[in-house]
Amino acid sequence: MSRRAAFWACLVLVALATAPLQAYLKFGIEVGGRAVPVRWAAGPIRYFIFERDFDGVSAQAFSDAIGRATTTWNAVPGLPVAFSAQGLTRSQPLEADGRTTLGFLDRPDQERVLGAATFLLDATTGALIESDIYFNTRFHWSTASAGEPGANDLESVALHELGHLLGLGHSALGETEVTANGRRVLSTGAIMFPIAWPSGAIADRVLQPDDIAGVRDLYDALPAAEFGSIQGRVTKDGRGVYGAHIVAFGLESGELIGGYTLNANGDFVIAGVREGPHILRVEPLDDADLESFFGPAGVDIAFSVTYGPRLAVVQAGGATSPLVIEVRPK
Amino acid sequence: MTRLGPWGIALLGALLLADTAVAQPALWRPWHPVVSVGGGWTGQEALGTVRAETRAIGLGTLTPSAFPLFTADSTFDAGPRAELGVAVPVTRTLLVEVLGTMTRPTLSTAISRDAEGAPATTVSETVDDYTVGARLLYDVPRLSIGARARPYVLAGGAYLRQLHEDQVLVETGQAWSAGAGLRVWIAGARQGRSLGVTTELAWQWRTGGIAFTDGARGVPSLSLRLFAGL
Repeated sequence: MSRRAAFWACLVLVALATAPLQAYLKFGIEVGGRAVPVRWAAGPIRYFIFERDFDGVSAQAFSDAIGRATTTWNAVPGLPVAFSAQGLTRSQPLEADGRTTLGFLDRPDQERVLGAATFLLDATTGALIESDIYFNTRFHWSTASAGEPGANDLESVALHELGHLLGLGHSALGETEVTANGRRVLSTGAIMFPIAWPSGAIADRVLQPDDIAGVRDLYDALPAAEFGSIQGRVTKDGRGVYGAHIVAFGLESGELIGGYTLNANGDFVIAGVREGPHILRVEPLDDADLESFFGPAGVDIAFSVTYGPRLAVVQAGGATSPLVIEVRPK
Repeated sequence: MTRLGPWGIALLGALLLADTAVAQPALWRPWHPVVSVGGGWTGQEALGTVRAETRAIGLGTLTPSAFPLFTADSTFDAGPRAELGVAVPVTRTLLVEVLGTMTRPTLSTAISRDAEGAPATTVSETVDDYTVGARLLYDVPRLSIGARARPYVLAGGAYLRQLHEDQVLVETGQAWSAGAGLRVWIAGARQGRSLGVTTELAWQWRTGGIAFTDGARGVPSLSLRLFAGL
Protein backbone atom coordinates (compact mmCIF):
# COMPACT_ATOMS: atom_id res chain seq x y z
CA MET A 1 0.00 0.00 0.00
CA SER A 2 1.48 3.29 -0.90
CA ARG A 3 0.90 6.85 0.15
CA ARG A 4 -2.32 6.11 1.90
CA ALA A 5 -2.97 7.24 5.40
CA ALA A 6 -3.35 4.32 7.73
CA PHE A 7 -4.50 4.34 11.29
CA TRP A 8 -2.26 3.68 14.16
CA ALA A 9 -3.83 1.44 16.70
CA CYS A 10 -3.43 0.59 20.28
CA LEU A 11 -4.78 -2.64 21.70
CA VAL A 12 -5.23 -3.49 25.31
CA LEU A 13 -4.11 -7.03 25.92
CA VAL A 14 -5.64 -7.31 29.32
CA ALA A 15 -9.38 -6.80 29.49
CA LEU A 16 -9.61 -3.75 31.68
CA ALA A 17 -11.84 -0.76 31.62
CA THR A 18 -9.58 2.08 30.67
CA ALA A 19 -10.35 5.58 31.86
CA PRO A 20 -8.79 8.65 30.31
CA LEU A 21 -7.26 10.92 32.90
CA GLN A 22 -7.37 14.65 33.11
CA ALA A 23 -4.95 16.87 31.23
CA TYR A 24 -3.18 15.22 28.36
CA LEU A 25 -4.87 12.01 27.25
CA LYS A 26 -3.27 9.26 29.24
CA PHE A 27 -4.32 5.69 29.78
CA GLY A 28 -5.80 4.99 33.15
CA ILE A 29 -7.64 2.31 35.05
CA GLU A 30 -10.08 2.41 37.92
CA VAL A 31 -8.52 1.22 41.15
CA GLY A 32 -10.59 1.40 44.30
CA GLY A 33 -13.03 3.80 42.70
CA ARG A 34 -10.47 6.25 41.43
CA ALA A 35 -8.62 6.58 38.15
CA VAL A 36 -4.90 5.92 38.29
CA PRO A 37 -2.52 6.35 35.37
CA VAL A 38 -1.15 3.37 33.53
CA ARG A 39 2.59 3.83 33.47
CA TRP A 40 5.89 2.17 34.22
CA ALA A 41 7.51 2.15 37.61
CA ALA A 42 10.68 4.22 37.78
CA GLY A 43 13.71 2.59 36.24
CA PRO A 44 14.70 1.04 32.93
CA ILE A 45 12.09 -0.23 30.49
CA ARG A 46 13.84 -3.29 29.13
CA TYR A 47 12.83 -4.29 25.65
CA PHE A 48 13.74 -6.98 23.13
CA ILE A 49 13.72 -7.01 19.35
CA PHE A 50 12.00 -9.89 17.56
CA GLU A 51 14.63 -11.47 15.33
CA ARG A 52 12.96 -11.27 11.96
CA ASP A 53 13.87 -9.64 8.68
CA PHE A 54 11.14 -8.27 6.48
CA ASP A 55 10.78 -6.31 3.28
CA GLY A 56 14.48 -5.54 3.06
CA VAL A 57 14.66 -4.42 6.67
CA SER A 58 17.02 -6.67 8.61
CA ALA A 59 16.51 -7.35 12.28
CA GLN A 60 19.60 -5.26 12.95
CA ALA A 61 18.32 -2.33 10.90
CA PHE A 62 15.01 -2.71 12.69
CA SER A 63 16.80 -2.69 16.03
CA ASP A 64 18.79 0.42 15.06
CA ALA A 65 15.62 2.28 14.08
CA ILE A 66 13.95 1.32 17.35
CA GLY A 67 17.12 2.42 19.15
CA ARG A 68 16.89 5.86 17.58
CA ALA A 69 13.25 6.17 18.56
CA THR A 70 13.91 5.12 22.15
CA THR A 71 16.81 7.57 22.33
CA THR A 72 14.39 10.32 21.29
CA TRP A 73 12.01 9.48 24.15
CA ASN A 74 14.91 9.02 26.58
CA ALA A 75 16.01 12.58 25.80
CA VAL A 76 12.83 14.04 27.31
CA PRO A 77 14.09 15.82 30.44
CA GLY A 78 13.26 14.50 33.86
CA LEU A 79 11.62 11.20 33.02
CA PRO A 80 12.11 8.60 35.75
CA VAL A 81 12.03 5.83 33.15
CA ALA A 82 14.35 5.09 30.24
CA PHE A 83 14.33 2.51 27.48
CA SER A 84 17.04 -0.10 27.67
CA ALA A 85 17.75 -2.44 24.74
CA GLN A 86 18.19 -6.08 25.71
CA GLY A 87 19.06 -7.50 22.31
CA LEU A 88 17.31 -9.90 19.96
CA THR A 89 14.79 -12.56 20.86
CA ARG A 90 13.04 -15.36 18.99
CA SER A 91 9.82 -14.64 20.85
CA GLN A 92 7.45 -12.61 18.73
CA PRO A 93 5.35 -9.71 19.93
CA LEU A 94 1.99 -10.41 21.58
CA GLU A 95 3.31 -13.33 23.58
CA ALA A 96 2.53 -12.69 27.22
CA ASP A 97 5.95 -13.74 28.44
CA GLY A 98 6.84 -10.85 30.69
CA ARG A 99 9.17 -9.47 28.01
CA THR A 100 8.52 -6.24 26.18
CA THR A 101 9.09 -7.18 22.56
CA LEU A 102 9.00 -5.16 19.36
CA GLY A 103 8.98 -6.68 15.92
CA PHE A 104 7.32 -7.41 12.63
CA LEU A 105 4.15 -9.44 12.75
CA ASP A 106 1.78 -10.70 10.07
CA ARG A 107 -1.55 -9.07 10.69
CA PRO A 108 -3.39 -9.22 7.36
CA ASP A 109 -6.65 -8.84 9.28
CA GLN A 110 -5.58 -5.36 10.40
CA GLU A 111 -5.70 -3.82 6.97
CA ARG A 112 -5.50 -0.22 8.16
CA VAL A 113 -3.21 -0.71 11.12
CA LEU A 114 0.48 0.05 10.69
CA GLY A 115 1.43 -0.95 14.19
CA ALA A 116 0.02 -1.39 17.63
CA ALA A 117 1.05 -1.55 21.25
CA THR A 118 -0.37 -4.02 23.71
CA PHE A 119 -0.20 -3.93 27.48
CA LEU A 120 0.07 -6.27 30.40
CA LEU A 121 -0.36 -4.42 33.63
CA ASP A 122 -0.94 -4.81 37.32
CA ALA A 123 -4.63 -4.14 37.74
CA THR A 124 -4.19 -3.15 41.38
CA THR A 125 -1.70 -0.35 40.76
CA GLY A 126 -1.78 0.51 37.07
CA ALA A 127 1.91 -0.34 36.80
CA LEU A 128 2.90 -1.73 33.43
CA ILE A 129 4.55 -5.12 33.37
CA GLU A 130 4.92 -5.77 29.67
CA SER A 131 4.10 -3.96 26.48
CA ASP A 132 4.65 -5.38 23.04
CA ILE A 133 4.64 -3.49 19.77
CA TYR A 134 4.10 -5.08 16.42
CA PHE A 135 4.64 -3.59 12.99
CA ASN A 136 2.25 -4.96 10.43
CA THR A 137 3.91 -6.82 7.54
CA ARG A 138 0.93 -5.92 5.42
CA PHE A 139 2.78 -2.67 4.71
CA HIS A 140 6.11 -1.71 3.19
CA TRP A 141 8.71 -0.47 5.65
CA SER A 142 11.88 1.54 5.43
CA THR A 143 14.71 2.53 7.71
CA ALA A 144 16.41 4.76 5.13
CA SER A 145 17.67 7.95 6.71
CA ALA A 146 15.83 10.17 4.22
CA GLY A 147 12.80 7.94 4.03
CA GLU A 148 11.67 6.01 1.00
CA PRO A 149 8.75 6.78 -1.29
CA GLY A 150 6.07 4.14 -0.93
CA ALA A 151 7.40 2.78 2.35
CA ASN A 152 6.43 3.65 5.90
CA ASP A 153 9.16 5.05 8.07
CA LEU A 154 9.81 2.54 10.82
CA GLU A 155 11.39 5.04 13.19
CA SER A 156 8.40 7.40 12.94
CA VAL A 157 5.86 4.67 13.61
CA ALA A 158 8.03 3.33 16.43
CA LEU A 159 8.18 6.75 18.07
CA HIS A 160 4.38 6.88 18.08
CA GLU A 161 3.93 3.34 19.38
CA LEU A 162 6.58 3.85 22.04
CA GLY A 163 4.52 6.81 23.21
CA HIS A 164 1.65 4.39 23.76
CA LEU A 165 4.02 1.96 25.43
CA LEU A 166 4.90 4.73 27.88
CA GLY A 167 1.20 5.25 28.62
CA LEU A 168 0.15 8.08 26.35
CA GLY A 169 -3.14 8.14 24.53
CA HIS A 170 -3.77 9.99 21.30
CA SER A 171 -3.45 13.69 20.73
CA ALA A 172 -6.03 15.51 18.63
CA LEU A 173 -3.58 18.17 17.48
CA GLY A 174 -3.99 17.88 13.78
CA GLU A 175 -6.21 18.70 10.86
CA THR A 176 -7.69 16.27 8.38
CA GLU A 177 -10.13 16.31 5.53
CA VAL A 178 -12.50 13.59 4.46
CA THR A 179 -11.91 12.17 1.01
CA ALA A 180 -13.46 9.33 -0.95
CA ASN A 181 -10.74 7.01 0.42
CA GLY A 182 -11.11 8.07 4.02
CA ARG A 183 -9.40 10.80 5.94
CA ARG A 184 -6.44 12.69 4.58
CA VAL A 185 -4.07 14.30 7.03
CA LEU A 186 -3.40 17.97 6.33
CA SER A 187 -1.20 18.68 9.30
CA THR A 188 -0.31 17.45 12.76
CA GLY A 189 1.14 19.05 15.86
CA ALA A 190 1.93 15.85 17.72
CA ILE A 191 3.57 12.50 17.13
CA MET A 192 0.65 11.02 19.04
CA PHE A 193 -1.93 12.14 16.48
CA PRO A 194 -3.88 8.98 15.62
CA ILE A 195 -3.47 9.06 11.84
CA ALA A 196 -0.10 8.42 10.25
CA TRP A 197 1.52 10.61 7.65
CA PRO A 198 1.78 9.23 4.12
CA SER A 199 4.51 6.75 3.33
CA GLY A 200 7.79 8.47 2.55
CA ALA A 201 7.37 10.99 5.37
CA ILE A 202 9.94 11.10 8.17
CA ALA A 203 8.93 14.20 10.11
CA ASP A 204 7.38 12.13 12.87
CA ARG A 205 10.85 11.21 14.08
CA VAL A 206 10.84 14.45 16.07
CA LEU A 207 8.77 14.86 19.22
CA GLN A 208 6.54 17.91 19.37
CA PRO A 209 5.86 20.09 22.45
CA ASP A 210 2.48 18.40 22.93
CA ASP A 211 4.13 14.95 23.11
CA ILE A 212 6.79 16.13 25.52
CA ALA A 213 4.28 17.88 27.78
CA GLY A 214 2.13 14.77 27.80
CA VAL A 215 4.81 12.32 28.82
CA ARG A 216 6.30 14.69 31.40
CA ASP A 217 2.85 15.17 32.87
CA LEU A 218 2.27 11.40 32.95
CA TYR A 219 5.52 10.79 34.83
CA ASP A 220 5.31 13.83 37.12
CA ALA A 221 8.37 15.30 35.41
CA LEU A 222 7.22 18.89 35.03
CA PRO A 223 9.38 21.20 37.18
CA ALA A 224 7.21 23.72 38.99
CA ALA A 225 9.79 26.40 38.23
CA GLU A 226 9.13 26.09 34.50
CA PHE A 227 5.57 24.96 33.94
CA GLY A 228 2.06 25.68 35.06
CA SER A 229 -1.38 24.59 34.02
CA ILE A 230 -4.55 26.00 32.52
CA GLN A 231 -7.89 24.97 33.90
CA GLY A 232 -11.40 25.75 32.88
CA ARG A 233 -14.68 24.54 31.59
CA VAL A 234 -16.24 24.26 28.16
CA THR A 235 -19.98 24.84 27.96
CA LYS A 236 -22.66 24.94 25.30
CA ASP A 237 -25.95 26.58 26.07
CA GLY A 238 -24.72 26.77 29.64
CA ARG A 239 -24.11 23.05 30.04
CA GLY A 240 -20.83 21.18 30.13
CA VAL A 241 -19.41 19.75 26.92
CA TYR A 242 -17.84 16.30 27.07
CA GLY A 243 -15.04 15.46 24.66
CA ALA A 244 -14.11 18.94 23.50
CA HIS A 245 -10.52 19.43 22.37
CA ILE A 246 -8.80 22.50 23.80
CA VAL A 247 -5.54 23.78 22.42
CA ALA A 248 -3.41 26.26 24.34
CA PHE A 249 -1.14 28.39 22.19
CA GLY A 250 1.69 30.17 24.01
CA LEU A 251 2.08 33.65 22.58
CA GLU A 252 5.63 33.77 23.91
CA SER A 253 6.67 30.13 23.58
CA GLY A 254 4.91 29.44 20.29
CA GLU A 255 4.01 26.00 21.62
CA LEU A 256 0.71 24.22 21.05
CA ILE A 257 -0.42 21.96 23.87
CA GLY A 258 -3.72 20.11 23.77
CA GLY A 259 -6.17 18.77 26.28
CA TYR A 260 -9.73 17.52 26.54
CA THR A 261 -12.86 17.93 28.56
CA LEU A 262 -13.27 14.55 30.14
CA ASN A 263 -16.42 14.82 32.19
CA ALA A 264 -20.00 15.88 31.75
CA ASN A 265 -19.30 19.18 33.47
CA GLY A 266 -16.91 20.12 30.66
CA ASP A 267 -13.93 20.56 32.97
CA PHE A 268 -10.43 20.54 31.56
CA VAL A 269 -6.87 20.89 32.78
CA ILE A 270 -3.90 21.35 30.47
CA ALA A 271 -0.64 20.69 32.25
CA GLY A 272 2.92 21.23 31.07
CA VAL A 273 2.30 24.75 29.81
CA ARG A 274 5.08 27.30 29.92
CA GLU A 275 4.78 30.68 31.62
CA GLY A 276 3.07 33.49 29.78
CA PRO A 277 -0.20 34.39 28.08
CA HIS A 278 -1.98 31.74 26.03
CA ILE A 279 -4.79 31.72 23.52
CA LEU A 280 -7.29 28.91 24.02
CA ARG A 281 -8.96 27.37 20.99
CA VAL A 282 -11.76 24.85 21.43
CA GLU A 283 -12.70 22.52 18.62
CA PRO A 284 -14.84 19.42 18.28
CA LEU A 285 -13.14 16.03 18.01
CA ASP A 286 -13.87 15.68 14.32
CA ASP A 287 -10.42 15.16 12.81
CA ALA A 288 -10.28 11.43 13.52
CA ASP A 289 -12.56 8.64 14.63
CA LEU A 290 -13.79 9.25 18.15
CA GLU A 291 -12.70 5.75 19.12
CA SER A 292 -9.14 6.92 18.53
CA PHE A 293 -9.41 9.01 21.67
CA PHE A 294 -11.92 7.53 24.08
CA GLY A 295 -15.37 6.01 24.14
CA PRO A 296 -17.61 8.00 21.81
CA ALA A 297 -20.66 7.85 24.07
CA GLY A 298 -21.68 11.34 25.02
CA VAL A 299 -18.97 13.14 23.05
CA ASP A 300 -20.38 16.36 21.66
CA ILE A 301 -19.01 17.41 18.28
CA ALA A 302 -21.93 19.65 17.30
CA PHE A 303 -20.22 22.96 17.86
CA SER A 304 -17.96 25.31 15.96
CA VAL A 305 -14.38 26.28 16.68
CA THR A 306 -14.46 28.85 19.48
CA TYR A 307 -11.73 30.88 21.14
CA GLY A 308 -11.48 31.57 24.85
CA PRO A 309 -12.93 34.94 25.89
CA ARG A 310 -9.65 36.11 27.37
CA LEU A 311 -5.99 35.18 27.47
CA ALA A 312 -5.01 32.48 29.95
CA VAL A 313 -1.92 33.75 31.75
CA VAL A 314 0.15 30.90 33.13
CA GLN A 315 2.50 31.26 36.06
CA ALA A 316 5.15 28.63 36.67
CA GLY A 317 4.10 26.31 39.45
CA GLY A 318 0.52 27.49 39.42
CA ALA A 319 -2.81 27.03 37.75
CA THR A 320 -4.79 29.75 36.05
CA SER A 321 -8.08 30.86 37.49
CA PRO A 322 -10.83 28.76 35.88
CA LEU A 323 -11.83 29.99 32.46
CA VAL A 324 -15.28 29.27 31.05
CA ILE A 325 -15.50 28.97 27.28
CA GLU A 326 -19.00 28.97 25.84
CA VAL A 327 -18.87 27.33 22.43
CA ARG A 328 -21.17 28.14 19.55
CA PRO A 329 -23.57 25.35 18.59
CA LYS A 330 -23.17 24.19 15.02
CA MET B 1 -21.96 71.81 32.94
CA THR B 2 -18.45 70.53 33.16
CA ARG B 3 -17.06 69.75 36.57
CA LEU B 4 -13.47 70.58 37.36
CA GLY B 5 -11.43 67.48 38.10
CA PRO B 6 -8.10 67.45 39.92
CA TRP B 7 -6.33 68.38 36.70
CA GLY B 8 -8.58 71.34 36.14
CA ILE B 9 -7.98 72.58 39.65
CA ALA B 10 -4.22 72.25 39.25
CA LEU B 11 -4.26 74.12 35.95
CA LEU B 12 -6.45 76.86 37.39
CA GLY B 13 -4.03 77.24 40.30
CA ALA B 14 -1.12 77.48 37.92
CA LEU B 15 -2.83 80.18 35.86
CA LEU B 16 -3.63 82.23 38.98
CA LEU B 17 0.02 82.09 39.93
CA ALA B 18 1.01 83.26 36.50
CA ASP B 19 0.49 86.85 37.52
CA THR B 20 3.62 86.64 39.59
CA ALA B 21 5.77 85.29 36.79
CA VAL B 22 9.20 86.78 36.48
CA ALA B 23 10.26 88.89 33.56
CA GLN B 24 13.62 87.21 33.12
CA PRO B 25 14.19 83.59 32.18
CA ALA B 26 14.42 81.36 35.22
CA LEU B 27 17.54 79.33 35.67
CA TRP B 28 17.90 76.22 37.76
CA ARG B 29 19.63 76.41 41.05
CA PRO B 30 22.11 73.53 41.03
CA TRP B 31 21.31 70.76 43.52
CA HIS B 32 17.92 72.20 44.40
CA PRO B 33 15.38 69.50 43.52
CA VAL B 34 12.50 69.91 41.13
CA VAL B 35 9.44 67.80 41.81
CA SER B 36 6.94 67.13 39.06
CA VAL B 37 3.67 65.30 38.81
CA GLY B 38 1.31 64.83 35.93
CA GLY B 39 -0.08 62.57 33.36
CA GLY B 40 -0.22 61.93 29.71
CA TRP B 41 -0.99 59.59 26.92
CA THR B 42 0.91 56.55 25.84
CA GLY B 43 0.48 55.50 22.27
CA GLN B 44 -0.30 52.10 20.91
CA GLU B 45 2.46 49.54 21.17
CA ALA B 46 2.68 46.75 18.62
CA LEU B 47 3.68 43.55 20.39
CA GLY B 48 4.04 41.39 17.36
CA THR B 49 2.18 39.01 15.10
CA VAL B 50 2.63 35.31 15.68
CA ARG B 51 1.15 32.30 13.97
CA ALA B 52 0.03 29.14 15.68
CA GLU B 53 1.44 26.45 13.44
CA THR B 54 1.39 22.74 13.12
CA ARG B 55 3.32 20.79 10.51
CA ALA B 56 2.03 20.42 6.99
CA ILE B 57 2.54 17.10 5.32
CA GLY B 58 5.96 16.88 3.71
CA LEU B 59 7.91 13.89 2.49
CA GLY B 60 11.58 13.13 3.14
CA THR B 61 12.16 15.99 5.54
CA LEU B 62 12.37 16.31 9.30
CA THR B 63 11.18 19.91 9.15
CA PRO B 64 8.17 20.15 6.90
CA SER B 65 6.59 23.48 6.10
CA ALA B 66 4.28 25.12 8.59
CA PHE B 67 0.53 24.74 8.55
CA PRO B 68 -1.04 27.90 9.97
CA LEU B 69 -3.77 27.18 12.50
CA PHE B 70 -4.48 30.82 13.22
CA THR B 71 -2.78 34.21 13.44
CA ALA B 72 -2.53 36.37 16.57
CA ASP B 73 -1.73 40.06 16.34
CA SER B 74 -1.17 41.72 19.72
CA THR B 75 -1.02 45.35 20.78
CA PHE B 76 -1.11 47.43 23.88
CA ASP B 77 -3.90 49.88 23.27
CA ALA B 78 -3.18 53.58 23.72
CA GLY B 79 -4.24 55.00 27.06
CA PRO B 80 -3.57 57.45 29.88
CA ARG B 81 -0.64 57.32 32.22
CA ALA B 82 0.48 58.93 35.45
CA GLU B 83 3.95 60.31 36.07
CA LEU B 84 5.93 61.38 39.11
CA GLY B 85 9.46 62.73 38.91
CA VAL B 86 12.19 64.23 41.02
CA ALA B 87 14.93 66.06 39.16
CA VAL B 88 18.16 67.54 40.42
CA PRO B 89 19.82 70.30 38.39
CA VAL B 90 23.51 69.62 38.11
CA THR B 91 24.05 72.87 36.22
CA ARG B 92 21.76 75.75 35.41
CA THR B 93 20.56 73.96 32.30
CA LEU B 94 21.14 70.26 32.87
CA LEU B 95 18.99 68.10 35.11
CA VAL B 96 19.15 64.49 36.20
CA GLU B 97 15.68 63.14 36.81
CA VAL B 98 14.29 60.00 38.38
CA LEU B 99 10.92 59.38 36.80
CA GLY B 100 8.26 56.81 37.52
CA THR B 101 5.30 56.11 35.28
CA MET B 102 2.25 53.95 35.67
CA THR B 103 -0.22 52.87 33.01
CA ARG B 104 -2.92 50.23 32.75
CA PRO B 105 -3.03 49.39 29.08
CA THR B 106 -5.29 46.79 27.54
CA LEU B 107 -3.43 43.96 25.90
CA SER B 108 -5.53 43.12 22.86
CA THR B 109 -4.88 40.08 20.74
CA ALA B 110 -6.71 39.90 17.44
CA ILE B 111 -7.14 36.31 16.28
CA SER B 112 -7.77 35.72 12.61
CA ARG B 113 -7.21 33.36 9.68
CA ASP B 114 -8.44 30.30 11.51
CA ALA B 115 -7.74 27.11 9.59
CA GLU B 116 -11.32 25.98 10.07
CA GLY B 117 -12.90 29.30 9.33
CA ALA B 118 -13.74 30.42 12.84
CA PRO B 119 -14.71 34.09 12.81
CA ALA B 120 -12.04 36.60 13.73
CA THR B 121 -12.16 37.69 17.33
CA THR B 122 -10.22 39.74 19.85
CA VAL B 123 -9.29 38.66 23.35
CA SER B 124 -7.87 41.05 25.86
CA GLU B 125 -6.62 41.60 29.37
CA THR B 126 -5.57 44.61 31.38
CA VAL B 127 -1.92 44.92 32.33
CA ASP B 128 -0.32 47.03 35.05
CA ASP B 129 2.71 48.71 33.51
CA TYR B 130 5.34 50.49 35.60
CA THR B 131 8.63 52.11 34.69
CA VAL B 132 11.24 53.60 37.00
CA GLY B 133 14.31 55.14 35.51
CA ALA B 134 16.73 58.01 35.14
CA ARG B 135 16.81 60.68 32.46
CA LEU B 136 18.98 63.58 31.46
CA LEU B 137 17.16 66.79 30.58
CA TYR B 138 18.94 69.64 28.89
CA ASP B 139 17.24 73.01 28.69
CA VAL B 140 18.18 74.81 25.51
CA PRO B 141 18.64 78.48 26.49
CA ARG B 142 19.22 79.65 22.93
CA LEU B 143 15.72 78.53 22.02
CA SER B 144 13.96 80.27 24.89
CA ILE B 145 10.62 81.74 24.00
CA GLY B 146 10.38 84.96 25.89
CA ALA B 147 11.04 84.97 29.59
CA ARG B 148 8.85 82.07 30.56
CA ALA B 149 9.21 79.25 28.09
CA ARG B 150 12.17 77.16 27.20
CA PRO B 151 12.42 73.91 25.24
CA TYR B 152 14.44 70.96 26.40
CA VAL B 153 15.61 67.63 25.09
CA LEU B 154 15.78 64.42 27.04
CA ALA B 155 17.20 60.93 26.98
CA GLY B 156 17.13 58.12 29.50
CA GLY B 157 16.55 54.54 30.43
CA ALA B 158 14.18 52.78 32.76
CA TYR B 159 13.34 49.44 34.30
CA LEU B 160 10.05 48.07 32.98
CA ARG B 161 7.77 45.95 35.11
CA GLN B 162 4.46 44.57 33.87
CA LEU B 163 1.87 42.55 35.73
CA HIS B 164 -0.75 40.52 33.94
CA GLU B 165 -4.39 40.97 34.86
CA ASP B 166 -4.61 38.36 37.58
CA GLN B 167 -1.42 39.73 39.16
CA VAL B 168 0.27 36.33 39.18
CA LEU B 169 2.84 36.82 36.47
CA VAL B 170 5.40 39.59 36.30
CA GLU B 171 7.40 40.33 33.18
CA THR B 172 10.31 42.74 33.18
CA GLY B 173 12.31 44.60 30.59
CA GLN B 174 13.94 47.89 29.69
CA ALA B 175 12.63 51.13 28.26
CA TRP B 176 14.90 53.65 26.54
CA SER B 177 13.52 57.04 25.71
CA ALA B 178 14.38 60.22 23.87
CA GLY B 179 12.31 63.27 23.16
CA ALA B 180 11.75 66.94 23.57
CA GLY B 181 9.54 69.19 25.61
CA LEU B 182 8.63 72.71 26.44
CA ARG B 183 8.89 74.07 29.96
CA VAL B 184 6.81 77.08 30.92
CA TRP B 185 7.45 78.95 34.13
CA ILE B 186 4.28 80.21 35.66
CA ALA B 187 5.73 81.56 38.84
CA GLY B 188 9.12 81.86 40.34
CA ALA B 189 12.10 84.06 40.62
CA ARG B 190 15.44 83.97 38.94
CA GLN B 191 17.55 81.56 40.96
CA GLY B 192 14.62 81.05 43.34
CA ARG B 193 11.65 78.74 43.90
CA SER B 194 9.57 78.23 40.84
CA LEU B 195 6.40 76.70 39.54
CA GLY B 196 5.48 75.72 36.03
CA VAL B 197 4.28 73.18 33.56
CA THR B 198 6.02 71.01 31.03
CA THR B 199 4.65 69.38 27.98
CA GLU B 200 6.69 66.65 26.46
CA LEU B 201 6.71 64.41 23.42
CA ALA B 202 8.92 61.36 23.68
CA TRP B 203 9.62 58.14 21.91
CA GLN B 204 10.27 55.02 23.90
CA TRP B 205 12.00 51.86 22.76
CA ARG B 206 11.06 48.85 24.83
CA THR B 207 12.82 45.52 25.05
CA GLY B 208 11.73 42.56 27.15
CA GLY B 209 8.53 42.73 29.09
CA ILE B 210 5.38 41.50 27.41
CA ALA B 211 6.17 41.02 23.75
CA PHE B 212 5.76 38.26 21.25
CA THR B 213 8.54 39.04 18.84
CA ASP B 214 12.19 39.86 19.32
CA GLY B 215 13.62 43.34 19.05
CA ALA B 216 12.69 46.75 20.37
CA ARG B 217 9.18 48.19 20.09
CA GLY B 218 8.63 51.89 19.61
CA VAL B 219 6.01 53.69 21.65
CA PRO B 220 5.18 57.42 21.44
CA SER B 221 4.07 59.29 24.51
CA LEU B 222 2.75 62.75 25.29
CA SER B 223 2.72 64.17 28.78
CA LEU B 224 1.78 67.27 30.73
CA ARG B 225 3.26 67.83 34.18
CA LEU B 226 3.22 70.44 36.85
CA PHE B 227 6.65 71.12 38.34
CA ALA B 228 7.87 72.88 41.42
CA GLY B 229 11.47 73.96 41.86
CA LEU B 230 12.30 73.87 45.54
